Amino acid sequence: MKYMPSVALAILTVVFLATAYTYPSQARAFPVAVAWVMLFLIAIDMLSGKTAEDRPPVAGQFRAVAWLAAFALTLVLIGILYGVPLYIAASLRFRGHRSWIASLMAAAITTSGIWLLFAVVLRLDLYQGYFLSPR
Amino acid sequence: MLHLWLSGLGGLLQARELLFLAIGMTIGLFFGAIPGIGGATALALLTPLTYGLDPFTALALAGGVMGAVPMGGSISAILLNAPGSAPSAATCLDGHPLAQQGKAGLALGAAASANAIGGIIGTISVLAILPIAKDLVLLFGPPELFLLAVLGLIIVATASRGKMLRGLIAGALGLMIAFIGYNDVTGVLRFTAGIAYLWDGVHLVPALIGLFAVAEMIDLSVKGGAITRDAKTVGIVSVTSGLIETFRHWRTVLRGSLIGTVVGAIPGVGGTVASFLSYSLTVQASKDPESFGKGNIQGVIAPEAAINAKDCSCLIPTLAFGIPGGVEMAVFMGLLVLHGMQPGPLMLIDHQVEIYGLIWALTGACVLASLLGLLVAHPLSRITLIDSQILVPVVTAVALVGSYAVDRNIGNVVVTAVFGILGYLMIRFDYPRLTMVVALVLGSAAERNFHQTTMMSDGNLSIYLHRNVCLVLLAGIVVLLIAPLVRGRRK
Amino acid sequence: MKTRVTRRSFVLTAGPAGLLLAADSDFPVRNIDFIIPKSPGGGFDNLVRVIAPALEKYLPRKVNVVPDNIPAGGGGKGIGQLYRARPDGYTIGAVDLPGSFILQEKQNGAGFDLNKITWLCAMGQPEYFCLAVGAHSPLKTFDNLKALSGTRPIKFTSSGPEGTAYAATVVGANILGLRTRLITGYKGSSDFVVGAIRGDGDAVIAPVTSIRPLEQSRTIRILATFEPHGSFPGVPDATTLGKAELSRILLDRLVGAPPGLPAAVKSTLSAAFAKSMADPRTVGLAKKFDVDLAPNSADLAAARVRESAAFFGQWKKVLS
Repeated sequence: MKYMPSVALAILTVVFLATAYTYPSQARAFPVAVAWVMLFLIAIDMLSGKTAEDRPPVAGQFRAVAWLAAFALTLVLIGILYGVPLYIAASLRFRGHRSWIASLMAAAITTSGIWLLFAVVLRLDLYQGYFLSPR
Repeated sequence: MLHLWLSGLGGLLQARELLFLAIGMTIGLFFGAIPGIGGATALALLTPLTYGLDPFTALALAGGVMGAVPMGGSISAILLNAPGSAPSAATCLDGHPLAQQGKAGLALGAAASANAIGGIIGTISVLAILPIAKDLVLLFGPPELFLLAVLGLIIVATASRGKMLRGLIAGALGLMIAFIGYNDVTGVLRFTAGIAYLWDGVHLVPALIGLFAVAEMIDLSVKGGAITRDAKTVGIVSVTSGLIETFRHWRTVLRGSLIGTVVGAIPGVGGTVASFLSYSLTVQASKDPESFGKGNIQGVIAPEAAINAKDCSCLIPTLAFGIPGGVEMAVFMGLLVLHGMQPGPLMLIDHQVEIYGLIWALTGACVLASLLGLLVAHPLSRITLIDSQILVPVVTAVALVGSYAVDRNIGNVVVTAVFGILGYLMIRFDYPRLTMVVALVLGSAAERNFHQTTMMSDGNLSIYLHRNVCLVLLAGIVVLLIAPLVRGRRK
Repeated sequence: MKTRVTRRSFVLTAGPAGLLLAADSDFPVRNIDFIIPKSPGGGFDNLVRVIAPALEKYLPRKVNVVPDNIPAGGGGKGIGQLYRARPDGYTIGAVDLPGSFILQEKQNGAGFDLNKITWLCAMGQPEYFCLAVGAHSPLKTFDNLKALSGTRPIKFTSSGPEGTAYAATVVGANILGLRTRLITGYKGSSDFVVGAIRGDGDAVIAPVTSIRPLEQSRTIRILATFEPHGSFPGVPDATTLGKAELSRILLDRLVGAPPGLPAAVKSTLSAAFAKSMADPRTVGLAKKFDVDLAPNSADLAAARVRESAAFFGQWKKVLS
């Protein structure tokens, strides 16, 4: 676990380096130099054996990340005016264990605030989502 | 020259102009606090509304917006770790930890006063150097800009003491991300994986919203509770303490203001660099560098002083040559054009009174916004007591929608989410975000300027030794590299 | 204006014919996206932002015309986005020629064909270019420059390799018989012109409108103009240089819509543009930065595209 970030970075850097070598010389000069330096630094870091001090529960972290990813995906697929209230209501109800009424009210207030600010005041067309956008 | 300053001030001190200044200031303060909105969007919104106004009134409105946005950005940076604009991200580093300790009022008070003083010092500096603005802009060409980028990266890397290795890794990662997109020099698209969104590279503001605001919300939802755990410490006394701290650390204020003024005046560098550089140099100069990132009040004062100082000096390349220092300046240029003022050397000759009026408007808005910020500091600091189960979804929703609103691109939402996860992992595994952000901002500029220098000199690197400003910058780089070794030996 | 989701959903289910009918009779009912494939703040961007408010004034319904800067890929992304947008009149874009032909040639996956775009109007008369050096440059005349070219390549500051300025520089230098080396990578016209003033390179080739204010403030010196009859006293022009072809190097700024735009929508937009270009305030503002907004039509715009394409075709090998 303690080497996971270093290994992940190393893999990313190798992919980056391999891609960089496909570009013409002037375009690849800097990326290649930085990638090699990065690999060197990662190697030293792994040898130093440094670990993070604080260890929150892994399950909690995955949950938090999953909620964020799900929200982002919802926005992309069904748009802002449906995605935001769905996320807030679900988050308050299933993560926050609030009542349905409280969850729905919070969702309604937040969504109204966002609509008022962005759509009315700023006159932005709020994204309608991949499934609901006109084709 | 004095008569021009006074004419500019006199033009501003009319009822109509003051009213529009106040309107602009209120809008700027409000929009500055919302991640993703910022000065550029506020100005873009107001520009068509200025259609019927005379130029001076339009400039009063624009000055009001631009002068107040930083204070708005500071409020959300401190309370929610959500930078209202890119430069405010530096304030998150120590401002939000202070809020977590129940000292949001202290941080806001310091931010407001540093903002105001930084803006005043920036104004005085700009008024003094405006007559030689053109010559200043011309001093910095590709060789100087490359060395400046290197200097910036070294300053930031050496500031992350105790975790310099991880700081360098984060910086290298930031550089790698900076190389994504269309390369201006060669015309080659790099590392886009066929995704059209990435042609422009990773958009900075959505990335920062993710790295700071969303990462913080992930962290908060994992840990639970509220941002601050001790309600008793959230009190009005703190705001006044913040003011006192700013005056106590007058050197930090002066340093930040001067950095903001100088960096803001250099075309193509931008305000984000100013605030992070000011922060990093303050860490370097501190006797207690390990306390930074954990709620050191100087970590709030330094970037805040720089942010407003750079707002005035950003006008220099914009007005002198029509080179906008950032998106906000670019939108501002559109407003100028709409009112028959074309940025360029002639503007510095034909519209001097209007320019001085604008500078006064910026300063006035900055000071007034800081005062308003002080007034709302205490009620706003109560936000830190809200339970995370409520705060996290609401802030996350506003952050992601704000990210979309930057340029109405849904790809921004994905970037914010990805950087949110990345930011959380960086917190979790102790990689400093500071170096990554600065590398992200400076990376492509450093590369571009290096290649342009190579083209200018036909590959002869001695060009760096034949230009005075380059020699100064090289000396600075050497000093910065040697200083940690000397300090280490002394200990 | 808010997006009328329910209405559009209905229109979609009614099929393409229904879509066309709804689009024609009601156009416009929501914000129009005006793509600018350049960074904010340049002359191109400024011109669009001057015209956009006037366009809002002359459209049959009150909607916002929202300038949308998409400078990525040298502008290729923006033009590609314009090309692939729905042809409903809600996405229009400004395109500069002949640089966009270079982009088309390189494609980079953008996949657009400028000959298929529905052209709506031209933003002003085509602009000539000129060759200039910084005021402190040791080069005082065009002959000095020519002499220098005999000893080493002249370094010109320019935009990235897919811009109209780049095209003008390469072709112009070729016609003038100058050995050249380009310093590319500058972000916009202000940037590379200032680069020349600063001495990054020896000279710059840029539109006359970009150079004139700098010449008036004595920051830059013009050594030659590509105008057939120069507007700068004492400066050689295309005729006096004996290079009439220089005056074919023109910067054209046109407005287009995606291919397949319904005729009625095209007519509405073209008419609104024509009135915008004749609006006294718009004309006056454009004049302040030296752009002459003469009345024009969609057909004129299409004709200018063909001329520019012919010019590019002639120089394609050199530019690619």
